[in-house]
Amino acid sequence: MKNCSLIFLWILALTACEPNAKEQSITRGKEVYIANCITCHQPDGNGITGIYPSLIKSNKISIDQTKRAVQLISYGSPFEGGMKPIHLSEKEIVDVINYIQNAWENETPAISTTELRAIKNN
Amino acid sequence: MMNRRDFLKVGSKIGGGLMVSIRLPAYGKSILFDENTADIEFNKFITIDTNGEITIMLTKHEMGQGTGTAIPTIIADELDADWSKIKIEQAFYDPKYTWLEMGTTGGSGSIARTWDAVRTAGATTKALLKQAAANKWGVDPIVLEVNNSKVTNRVTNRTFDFGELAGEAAKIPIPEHVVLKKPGEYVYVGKSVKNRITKDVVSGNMRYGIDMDIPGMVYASIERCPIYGGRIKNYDDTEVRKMEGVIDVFPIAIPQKIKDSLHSIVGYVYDGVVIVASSTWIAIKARKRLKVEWDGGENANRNIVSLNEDMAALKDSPAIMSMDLGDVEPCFQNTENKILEMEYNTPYQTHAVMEPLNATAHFQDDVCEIWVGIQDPEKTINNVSKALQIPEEKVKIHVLKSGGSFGRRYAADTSIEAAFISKKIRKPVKLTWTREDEIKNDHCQPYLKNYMTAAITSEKSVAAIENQAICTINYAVWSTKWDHYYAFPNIRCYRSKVQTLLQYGAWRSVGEHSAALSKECFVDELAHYLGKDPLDYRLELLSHEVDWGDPKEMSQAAIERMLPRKKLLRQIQIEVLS
Amino acid sequence: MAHYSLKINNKIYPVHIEPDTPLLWVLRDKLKLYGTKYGCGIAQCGACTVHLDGMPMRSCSIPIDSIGNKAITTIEGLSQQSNHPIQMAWEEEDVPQCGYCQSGQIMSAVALLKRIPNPTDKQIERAMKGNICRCGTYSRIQNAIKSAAKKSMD
Repeated sequence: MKNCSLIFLWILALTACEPNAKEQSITRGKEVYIANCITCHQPDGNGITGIYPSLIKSNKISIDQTKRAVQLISYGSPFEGGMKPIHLSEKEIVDVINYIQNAWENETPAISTTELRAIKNN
Repeated sequence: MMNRRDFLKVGSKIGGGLMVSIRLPAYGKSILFDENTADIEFNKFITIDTNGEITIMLTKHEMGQGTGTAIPTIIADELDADWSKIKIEQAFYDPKYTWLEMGTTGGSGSIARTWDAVRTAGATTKALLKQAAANKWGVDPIVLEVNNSKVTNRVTNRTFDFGELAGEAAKIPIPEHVVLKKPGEYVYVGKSVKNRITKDVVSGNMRYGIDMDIPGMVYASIERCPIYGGRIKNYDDTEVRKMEGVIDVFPIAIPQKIKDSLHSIVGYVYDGVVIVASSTWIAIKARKRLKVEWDGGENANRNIVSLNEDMAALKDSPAIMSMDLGDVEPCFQNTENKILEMEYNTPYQTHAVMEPLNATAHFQDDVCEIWVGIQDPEKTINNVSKALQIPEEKVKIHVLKSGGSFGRRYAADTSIEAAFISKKIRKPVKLTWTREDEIKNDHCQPYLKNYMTAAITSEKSVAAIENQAICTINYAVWSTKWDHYYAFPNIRCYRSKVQTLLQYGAWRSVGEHSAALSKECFVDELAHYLGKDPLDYRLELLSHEVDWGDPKEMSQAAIERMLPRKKLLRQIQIEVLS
Repeated sequence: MAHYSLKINNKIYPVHIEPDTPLLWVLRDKLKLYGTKYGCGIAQCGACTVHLDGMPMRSCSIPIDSIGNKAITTIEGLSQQSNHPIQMAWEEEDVPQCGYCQSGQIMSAVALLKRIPNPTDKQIERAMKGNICRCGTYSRIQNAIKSAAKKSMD
């Protein structure tokens, strides 16, 4: 039993140190973006003026903005004609947010599934 | 034994070749040609050209279920034809065909009901071609074999292609009897044959009802009453008329008297305001600027919560008893028995057909032509003619392929709407429902609340079952009878109906699946409670003789249609389980 | 109303239309390119997928005014003889049932293989998630994409 938890901790430490984890999440996130977001928010993240908002927020992305993104993806916009909820898994939401928040001129530390849950429950 | 001459017609195709027309049977009952008709071109079921090209007329509607490939493979098999030389054409619906022949596609019966006739047509055509070859070579047909659209003389090894024999075959009298293939001899049936539409789908050339195009056509969208049974009170189109591209705006509200003469499901048309525009987009967009006031009628103040309450309230009210086997009462009164009670809800469900609902119509010179993917052209013609107050013979339906249907395209609503619009504006018009329209105004799968109660003895056996079905339609036998299901010693069934909140219709059958879902779930609950394996328990419950009832007390339709299906269902049930 | 000059399948189409008209309705109602299908109108089903500069886009949600010089490819423009590797794989695997969603599925699949020539199951799933099939041909779609990828690798 003790051995098991040691191995577990070791794996955890390894993944946390993994320099590629963020990059991998972003790479996966780009695919999620292409499949689900690209039409409205466009390949350059600029959206379409007057209809679909730009996702480019520079490096000052606040936790509130991340929370809003999670809410929009999960539940859609309450306004008529606004964004519809996107049926994505937790991992896909994490990946796509990491992509969006680190693409174009954006730059933000990556979030994890645990953080996503915390944002959702907050 | 069917007499081939009575349901088959053979003759020469204009311009050379062979043509076979057939009458398709209705529920196993054959329909025969009138002795005096010489209508070789009745439905041009199989045509063989002098160049060997075979055309099979599809008398059913292809909507993704695959009948457009399946029926031709049956013919090709009995004909021993080269599949690559077969062309499939959609037959044009004509009232001279009976309802089951070509008037409807559904009830899971396109193949089951035509199987024998279709095979016989293929086999007869082959026999004629074989005889034609025998005549040409002056040999007995016994030495000939047919393969891949070729007749071969096994003695000389010479061959004739079907095309070379078609002209001669048209002159040969129809043989009295033909031999049909045995299951092991099939080339296409039961094998994986590629979907005939695939080529057109991958190239983007496949055309569905929604892709219909008539030069000069305009586009329409309708803002419909969101409440089933509601009517239009008044509307304001001032803002809409200012929009560029809007051609016309007018209400569609069929007078009550005419409405009453239409089929309550197939012919039901929601009140609405029609917008005709130069593109579908403008018509859809313009609806947002329309101000409409509706009179919700009886359903105005109802909603899903109140419906649920209405249904639950019926649980202890008097209901129609639809089955009473043995005596359930003592079993439920016996305090030593354990009572197990469950409630199953199968709520309203929409079809969500992939291809949104649509119809294209052109009304000119008093004739209304409609292009639509439809499961029931006969009822559509009937309802369009009544709704528009024009004779049936002035309504022509062209059946186009559909992107899914599941029962939704039985309804004539889109056809009536498109015909109404075209009659009003005297232009060809394509009407498209939006996805939202379909979800809002669908013909939903009815809402069923099924209450199941069992009395279980202390020896752990089920003494009695009580089943109370409360539904938004008058669900007949399917949901409230257990006789062809499992053998419980005492069974009592009730059913009651609550006024529906939404329009309803066929949805991948009507009631069987929702009834079966609750029954089977309940049997699982019983098995679980009894500590038995669910499969073993079912087999145990099926090991009894079924009393199918006295045919003298049944209607003709029940004997011809329901009884064989019930027996088949039970047989399949046993086969699947064992 | 405004004038546009659209580059579709390597041909120039002049169009005179309201600027907010979605590309889907321009293709279908004005240009009669019926291979691109209307399914939901709100970018939720993928039936109307086309390529804009090679990227898969839901044409129902793109106003014509925002397209500019981007090259539009529809199912009709994928190949001359329906012989694009994806189209051939679709035929081989006999993917379609009713077929209505398949133009969109094919367009998404083609764009996927352009980005990732040899995708894993997960990558296929991720890329095709925005395309709904009411008949449920998903497993055949997956097989067809893999077989097309394999053929172009060989």
